[in-house]
Amino acid sequence: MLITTENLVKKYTMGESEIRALDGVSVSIAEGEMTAVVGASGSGKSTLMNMLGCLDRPDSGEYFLNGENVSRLPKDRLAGIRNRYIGFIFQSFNLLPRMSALENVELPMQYAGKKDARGVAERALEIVGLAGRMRHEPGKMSGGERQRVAVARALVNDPALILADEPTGNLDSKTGEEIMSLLESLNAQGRTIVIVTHDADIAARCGRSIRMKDGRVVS
Amino acid sequence: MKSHIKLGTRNLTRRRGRSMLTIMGVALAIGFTVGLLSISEGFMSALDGMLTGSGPDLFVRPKGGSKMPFGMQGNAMLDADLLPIVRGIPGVEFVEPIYQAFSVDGGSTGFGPMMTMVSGMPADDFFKIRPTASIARGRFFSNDDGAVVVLGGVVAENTGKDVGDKLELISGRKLEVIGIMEKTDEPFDYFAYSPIASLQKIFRDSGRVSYFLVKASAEAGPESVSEKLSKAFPHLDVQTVRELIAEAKKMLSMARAVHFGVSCFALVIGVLFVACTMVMSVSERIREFATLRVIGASKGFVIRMILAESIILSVVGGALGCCIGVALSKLIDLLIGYFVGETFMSALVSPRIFAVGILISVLIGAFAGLLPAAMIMRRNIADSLRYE
Repeated sequence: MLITTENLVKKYTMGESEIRALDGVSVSIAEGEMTAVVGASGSGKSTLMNMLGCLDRPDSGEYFLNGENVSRLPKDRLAGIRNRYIGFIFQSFNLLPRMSALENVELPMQYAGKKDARGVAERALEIVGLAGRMRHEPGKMSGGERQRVAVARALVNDPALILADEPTGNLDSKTGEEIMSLLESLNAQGRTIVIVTHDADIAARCGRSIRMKDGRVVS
Repeated sequence: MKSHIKLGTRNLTRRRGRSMLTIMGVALAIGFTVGLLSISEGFMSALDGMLTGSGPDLFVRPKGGSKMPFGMQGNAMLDADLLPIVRGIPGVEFVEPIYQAFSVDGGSTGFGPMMTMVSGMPADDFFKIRPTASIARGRFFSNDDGAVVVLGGVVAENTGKDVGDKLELISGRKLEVIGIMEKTDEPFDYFAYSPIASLQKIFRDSGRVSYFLVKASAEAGPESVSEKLSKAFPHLDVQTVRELIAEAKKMLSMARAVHFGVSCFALVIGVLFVACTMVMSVSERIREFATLRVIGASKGFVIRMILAESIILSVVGGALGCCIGVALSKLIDLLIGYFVGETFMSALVSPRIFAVGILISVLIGAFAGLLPAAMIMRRNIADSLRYE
């Protein structure tokens, strides 16, 4: 299994009340799967995505990524894990506005200390169909182009897992379809993809759905 | 270029107006500091230069006079009969009895007429005691001359007098200018010289002198001669030039302390300026920093990036501030020239001061960057990604 979680619990305190955003979540995702995490707002799917993406640590329970228990690692170790094993795609793209598409895609490789980052970034942008837009800053690109840059950035370190949080949420249906096709083709090449989504159509295109409710996996 | 520096530099261009205002704030703080430092440095350097210049080594004067250098010791007088006794002290090479008079004739300053000190002295040993002195125009006086005066190079410039003109003493008596000395950047540029007998006669003060200037032999040295003179004349005040300069430096140090306090205040304002800008800038980019962390940037990278941005902002301000500091020191020199006339003290802008200015700006940047860096590091990445 690429991902295994055992009884993950994450609690938040709001005023005097305690909210269990994750309440004993145990899931396993095999390598090469394309999985949707679905559920209503507040169901805990974003919290689960934060845990799976090593952006946050659980209060209790264990998380094994590629066989390594990452649930208690210090923050800088987690940064390294994210850099090497996980590619992120966000609803709002989260590109650096003062850098060109090429530089945005290069950045994760610089943290990984990779050589020939420029060449790899150029190839990644070619794969997502942005060969002619490499020198443009995100502000001068359409939403679909920006999301393609984000996909290229997620790919460059050859991660084991791609986590996409509402990847089509800010796109029109045609562009959203293009991005989904891109993710499907990446999955077809063997990438493990986890998509957090509200959209039933997108969930239907994934091989498997994990449905969340009140911090628990219900199906 | 390292990516944290590249990112830091680009972020500064995002809000150009704000960056420029911050740079100006730092520039003023550094400019003020560099300006004040260059004045202190210049004055200290001028005083140190007096130690290495030619001229007398010791002042012997009545007790109770002020400790001001160059014979501005007030009205206390010495008996001229002491001269041979002072000459007889072992280690004394030359002794010059000085009768001090003042003139306010010619030249003016922002405070009013320019004062010239006229030293009455014997002609005999003048050039032996001051081997670098020379006459530019006219001639030096002889002991037999009457009401004549030789002007130091700076005095001639300040008063606008030349050979053949008259220099009027405060008493109203006029001295004929018979010579102008070459400018040498030594203290004697700032005095006028007359035959001592002539001044004593004008002031009906025969047999009395204002003070003795003593040159110690090279073998004996000023300190040893000072000790002997102090023992021989306990009722007199004996001071070496070194002690006088130390006295002057002590006074200058007080001014320096005030400069330092004012500079610190300016620098704290500089730190606050940059910190304020950086806090605003970082607060606007919380999601951006979170994104960097998401894609693998370590805490150290983000801290370095914020510090680089803050230091670049501050160093650009510092470099501009150094230029403002030079302009400020030149302005102060001009003001000193206007209010006091030409003096041997002027602001000195050395590479060391530039280095201090830049170093201070680096420190300003580093301090100012710490708060926003700590602020961003405390934030949860997942929360920051959703921050609007």
